[in-house]
Amino acid sequence: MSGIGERIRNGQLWKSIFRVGIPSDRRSRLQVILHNFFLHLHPTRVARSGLKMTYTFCLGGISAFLFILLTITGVFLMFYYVPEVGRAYSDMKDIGFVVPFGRVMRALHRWAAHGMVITVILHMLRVALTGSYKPPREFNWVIGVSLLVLTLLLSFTGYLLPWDQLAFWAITVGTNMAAAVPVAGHDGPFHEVAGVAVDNDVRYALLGGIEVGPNALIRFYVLHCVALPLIAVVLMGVHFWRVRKDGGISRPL
Amino acid sequence: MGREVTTHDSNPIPPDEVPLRQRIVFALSSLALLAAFAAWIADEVRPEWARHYLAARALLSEGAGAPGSEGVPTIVPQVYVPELEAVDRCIACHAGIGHAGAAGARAPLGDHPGPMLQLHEQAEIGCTACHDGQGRATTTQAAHGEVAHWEAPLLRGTLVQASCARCHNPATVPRAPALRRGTEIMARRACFGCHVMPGEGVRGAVGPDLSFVASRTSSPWLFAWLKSPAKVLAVPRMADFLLSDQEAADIVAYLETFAPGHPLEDSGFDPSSASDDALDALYDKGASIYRVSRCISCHAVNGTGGTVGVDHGRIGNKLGLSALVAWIEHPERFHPGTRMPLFRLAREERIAVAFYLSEEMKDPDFETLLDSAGKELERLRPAADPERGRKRMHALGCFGCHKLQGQQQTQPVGADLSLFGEKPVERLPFAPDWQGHRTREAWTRAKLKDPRSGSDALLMPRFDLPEEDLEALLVAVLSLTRRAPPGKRADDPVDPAQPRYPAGRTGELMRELRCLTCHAFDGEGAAFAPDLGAEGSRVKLPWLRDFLREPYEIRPTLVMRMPRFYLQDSEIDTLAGYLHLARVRDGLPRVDGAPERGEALYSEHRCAGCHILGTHGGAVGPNLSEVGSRLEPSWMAWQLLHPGLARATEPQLARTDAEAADIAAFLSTLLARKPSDGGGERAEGRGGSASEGGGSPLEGEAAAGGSR
Repeated sequence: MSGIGERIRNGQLWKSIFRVGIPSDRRSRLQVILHNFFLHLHPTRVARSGLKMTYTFCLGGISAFLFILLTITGVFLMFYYVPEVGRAYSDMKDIGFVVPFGRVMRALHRWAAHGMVITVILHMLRVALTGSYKPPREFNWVIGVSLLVLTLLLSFTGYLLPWDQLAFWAITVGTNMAAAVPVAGHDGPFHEVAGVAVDNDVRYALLGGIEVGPNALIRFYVLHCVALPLIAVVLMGVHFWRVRKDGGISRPL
Repeated sequence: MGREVTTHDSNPIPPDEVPLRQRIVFALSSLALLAAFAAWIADEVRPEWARHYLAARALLSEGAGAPGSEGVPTIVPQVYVPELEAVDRCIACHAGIGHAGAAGARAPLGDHPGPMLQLHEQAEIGCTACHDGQGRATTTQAAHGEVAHWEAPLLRGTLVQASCARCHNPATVPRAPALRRGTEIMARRACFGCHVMPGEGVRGAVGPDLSFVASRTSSPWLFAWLKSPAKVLAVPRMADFLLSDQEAADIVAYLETFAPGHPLEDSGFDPSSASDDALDALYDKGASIYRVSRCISCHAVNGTGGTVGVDHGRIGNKLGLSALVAWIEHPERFHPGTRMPLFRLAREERIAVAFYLSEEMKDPDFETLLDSAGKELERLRPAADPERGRKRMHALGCFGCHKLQGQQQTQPVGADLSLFGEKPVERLPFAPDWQGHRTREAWTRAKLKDPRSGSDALLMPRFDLPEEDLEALLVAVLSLTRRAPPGKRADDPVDPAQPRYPAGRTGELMRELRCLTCHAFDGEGAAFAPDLGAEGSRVKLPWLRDFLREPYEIRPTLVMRMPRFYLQDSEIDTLAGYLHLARVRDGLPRVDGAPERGEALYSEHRCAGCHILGTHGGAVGPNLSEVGSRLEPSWMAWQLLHPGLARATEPQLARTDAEAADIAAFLSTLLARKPSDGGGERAEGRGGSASEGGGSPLEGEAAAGGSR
């Protein structure tokens, strides 16, 4: 058996993909990691103490896993959902009632979204409590905060898409809060300094208008499905890479 | 593996070091996850609706016409109606619908009961257009809309009639008796006096003008009425405002302040100075006019009779002779929105009717009740404050229905009901101690039964409706929803309280006679009496003139309702001329048939089953013995071909234009014995005999029959 495995892993097909054969020593094992696009985010070595579950609770890992799950189920939902005012709600209902496996896909997407918000926040809490933001990890903390904001924005933009009363009013309230920020919101302090009015403030930019309507729906859809995930993927790449560069996974000193 | 590698992989955690408890937890949660996935996949492969679908197919395969192919279809059966944005998957479970073989099967497999699917194409309106519920859903509870936040749950039982109003006129739609009754109650009890609701009447013109009320009737009567209308009249129109004694006394005191400014002129007739014989004659004359004028078509007497006007039982206790005479002379003066015609009665005739009413419609027992009400009122009078009464009347919204000099309701006191049937359940003010389900239906039923429960601030009066009427009113209130898109509507409701009369002198005359209290023009008006929209094309002018002069019974099974108005010849000319020239229908066929063939067809189609001709025939349809003098042949031919368009109930039996023309030609030969030219005096005598049972028309028919 091991002979066949060895033949495959030393064969040309294997090598064309993974570029190196079976690692036989510490150096060649390092090469495997370094020479593979997917694996090179991974540290070549993990300290034994880094495997201790109760130190990190794998919160970052769970967040990343949920992000992948959300991407897969989200793509599935995009096949059936049309972000048009007249259709959005019924499409959401149809996904639940008639699309094969649609109910479970939507449920997974919804629960995973809630879960990701929770795990990302807990992740940040853990990083703060273990002091893992300290140099040399101070830049990764900043990236992490950006990812937290992105997670919340993804959750917020996705909330509008079912286009029901809950969605409508939640987004109305949420964007009115945006309208109350200083300078950039027409309801906030110092807005007159920047000449910000109801039709050119940050809420207007979010909604594409002064109230939740078709423009808001398409904006939130595009942000939710394209813009925000793209930025999140890039930042997550940097985040993971920096974890490795800054000394690997946090562990008890 | 090299030795070096082994060195670096030293001290891996051996499997047997994982505690047993953790391993069991892991195993069990994995199994639970597996089971959940299995259940989910099973549900996807064989959903709930598919079980019903297969059961229906098994049921129908014993007969003919099983739906669909073997196995579960990959697409959920549904009805899609783009105009209504309806996707109704009800037929996935209710799979027997549309299959006669499933009639009577247990729910949900049975066919749709009744003839509704023959009257409404399922492919055109779907299911939820009438039944509500959540059409897209494929599980029972969700589909019935009996889940949180679904605003239109399944309309069960009679409630489904509420949705007829989305496309039909709720006052006239057939097969929705509860909706019709409820709509009638809603209009009669004048809900619009307090509530904003669609197309219903004029505020301030529902009840009589209160400026006159204190001079027309007595203060004790007013007090008794305000305290409890149901104790005064068998079927009062006004609701019980649950006033305290002091509130009622305040309002009476306030109304009394208007009496000096609105005096009533004396009738000039004093019964005590007349002889008994003269009074008997007067009484008989009044009784006869009361009958011929068909007063009971509109007025009930102690609960039996019409529902348009006020109940006449105890009218003698309310109004004196002078007040009655003044009312008959000009009802609109005392009641701006009255639906009562202005009868062309002479002064003596008015006195006769008033005398008859004040004698006949007086309840001696009620007088004792009025006496005690009077004593009670006197006791309260010292503390009564007119200004307090005025304020209370404003608070209760009295001027939503009544006019009173100088007072006006600035805004409706009640809630806006225009889309009540869609009002979210969350916005209904349930009482804090509410028991049971919170549904629109339950809240509305409780509100109609006991309008003031839950809060002392509530002002809605109590209507004391019998259980049956309450359910009907519930249906009507829930029917206040958005209307279907124009292409899907059958007919639009029209406002019975604001009929549009034609312009000019004719319109003025018709308004005085209140023609549209009973009739309609092309659906606009009331539905008590035939629609006059195409009367000019329907009937012959001489007949119309005779009928206006002396109405008689046309349909033996219906109660005759058309009053005799005592019109002058010039007025008859105006009315008949208007109907003849203006109320016509274009495109009626020119009739050129053979009467002999028509006569044969008459017996072939068994017309005599419903119509009397000569001495025999059924009494369902109108008597046809003189129909040639009454109806235009072209109308008869058209109606035979299109009974529905002609608003007739008869079945469509004539198959071709030629058949219809032949029958019309035959019917046109059936003339009255003395063909009338519409001249004044001669017809007066003839009409009298016709109204008394029609000896002469039958003789005339016998002559026609002899000529066969």
